[in-house]
Amino acid sequence: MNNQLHLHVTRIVTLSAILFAMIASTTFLFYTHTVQKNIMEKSIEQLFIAVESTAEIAAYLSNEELALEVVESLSKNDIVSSVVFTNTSDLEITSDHKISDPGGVLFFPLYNPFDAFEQVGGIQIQPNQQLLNQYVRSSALEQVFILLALILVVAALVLTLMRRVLTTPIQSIAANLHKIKPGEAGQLVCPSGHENNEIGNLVTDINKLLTSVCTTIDQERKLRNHVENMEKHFRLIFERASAGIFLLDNNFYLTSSNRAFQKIAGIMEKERRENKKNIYLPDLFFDPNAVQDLLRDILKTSRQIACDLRLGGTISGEERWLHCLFSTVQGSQEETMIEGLVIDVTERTFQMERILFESEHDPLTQLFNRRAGMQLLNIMMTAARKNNDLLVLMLIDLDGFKEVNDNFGHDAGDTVLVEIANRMQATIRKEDILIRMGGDEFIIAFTVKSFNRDEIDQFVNKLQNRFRTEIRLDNDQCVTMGSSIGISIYPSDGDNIETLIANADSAMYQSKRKGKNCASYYLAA
Amino acid sequence: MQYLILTLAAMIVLLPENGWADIVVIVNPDSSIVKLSRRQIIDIYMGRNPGLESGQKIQPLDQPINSAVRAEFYRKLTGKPVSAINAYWARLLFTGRAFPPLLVEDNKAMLNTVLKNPNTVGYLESQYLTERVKVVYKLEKNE
Repeated sequence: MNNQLHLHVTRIVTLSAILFAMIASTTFLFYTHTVQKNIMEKSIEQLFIAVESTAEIAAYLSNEELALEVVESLSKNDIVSSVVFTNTSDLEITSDHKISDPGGVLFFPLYNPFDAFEQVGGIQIQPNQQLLNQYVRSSALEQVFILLALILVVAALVLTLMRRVLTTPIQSIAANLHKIKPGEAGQLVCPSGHENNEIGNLVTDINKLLTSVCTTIDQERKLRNHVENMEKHFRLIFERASAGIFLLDNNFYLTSSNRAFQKIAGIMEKERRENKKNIYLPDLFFDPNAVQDLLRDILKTSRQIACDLRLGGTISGEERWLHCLFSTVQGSQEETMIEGLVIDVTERTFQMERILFESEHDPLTQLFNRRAGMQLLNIMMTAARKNNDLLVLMLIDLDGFKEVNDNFGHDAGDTVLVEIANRMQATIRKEDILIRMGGDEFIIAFTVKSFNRDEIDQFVNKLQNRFRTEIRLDNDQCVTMGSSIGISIYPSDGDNIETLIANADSAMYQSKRKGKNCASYYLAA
Repeated sequence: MQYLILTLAAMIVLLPENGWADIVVIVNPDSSIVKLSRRQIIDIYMGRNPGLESGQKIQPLDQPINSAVRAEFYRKLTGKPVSAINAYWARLLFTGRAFPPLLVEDNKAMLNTVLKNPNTVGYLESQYLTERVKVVYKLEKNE
């Protein structure tokens, strides 16, 4: 604040005034010189007029005494420095002080008093240059002093007025403005007496600006709080959601994911933080190539895809299944990203599988039930038809099962059925079909390339041998089971499952008739 | 009114002729001066050397101080009133170097003085003129 406004302005005004005063003084010096010179010359002229007639007579008559008197009376004046009187008769009277410098000398002609056209002489008068200079100097000095005094007064006035009218109010406004913090409601007070001038306008405008800034900052703050809250909520949703949420870049690397996803996918927090960029999503799954293809497809078609995918690792030996929902999102830099929502459906998958299993299997023996078995047989037949294979269908009915049920009770019957089922299961190959058709009736079906009776007989013997092994019941009693088997073969014994089963059934009755515990081929009548 | 006109007419007829006559400048018949210019006459009467060829000294003669002819003479000669001429001489008197013209009593005395002194110049009203003096300049009546 060294360079205060009023000092600055005063300095400028004073310097300008001094400069002006110098110019004015110089001009005035010349002017005064001219004026004073003119005044002096006028005075000398008047002096001359006073003695003119006497001087004319002196010149006319060449009267020395009269001329001397004229010269003396002229030189007595302090404005005259020297006088020379001459006439046509060569009379010359000079004052004590001789004319030194011919410049500035005034010449007055003298005429014949009786003939105004005849010049009879003249008087040269030299004005007192020193006196003139003295006059001029003192006059100029006086002027300069007056100007200086005026300048001082003006400077003082400007200083005071500037201070009172401009600097002080502006300082007070600036100090008040300095105290106001942005966004705080604060108003400037207009310095009294300035309400209706520029300072008043300035204060009014600043106050308007302050109000508007305050309002804007307030709105901004509210908006920010709102956004922060929303962000917090969204973050909470993202962070705490039980569903895993993640975002992939277009190379299928994980760019961000929530805690739920990390937990579900088995990514350790530490690991994730260390190699944030390096988690390749398909690697997390059991079949990375399939997932990769799926993601490529999503990226290409921008479709939303929902599917169940199996995770790569197992937790405590259990398979892990995720229900995933993929869709594309437009990233900030024009790149397409993939967002994913996953739910751990391991529990559900097992439940689903159990339901499916229960719907297809006999609850007692865990073998395919009749309905599922029929479907499987149809599928096998279609495949056999396509591959020109033979389908061997064996219908097995236990001998004497009714007696076991009647003698030992249903629990014993169930035990026998389960044991028999397990033994059959152990006998057949993995791709063969074993169905409990109901009661004590089972079907075994398999395909072969060509008919070989020995092989089939061998299989039947093996099966019947296993049946013949004693079955220990709960009450430590043992039973042995025989079985009657009917065999029908596609395509020779029928080209649909129903026919094959019906024919196998009739072959089985033939075995019963033969005396049980044997196998019979269906023979077309 | 008629009386006034008559009075004026009578005044015109009866006025003394001398105020209205010519004034002549005269010299002694023996003087070498034949003719003088007005300028020369002024110089002579105002105390200045007239610069004549002969270089002789000439004494001007003047009519009585308060005479009408003197006033008329100077008026006609210099165009100035006689009081200015009187002041002129009064101014010069104390210097001791200038001498005004000698005074004579009247026209007759003027004539006689000129006749007696060959180096004098005088003037008189033309009716007093005699043939014994030489007229060197004539100031006309209507001048």
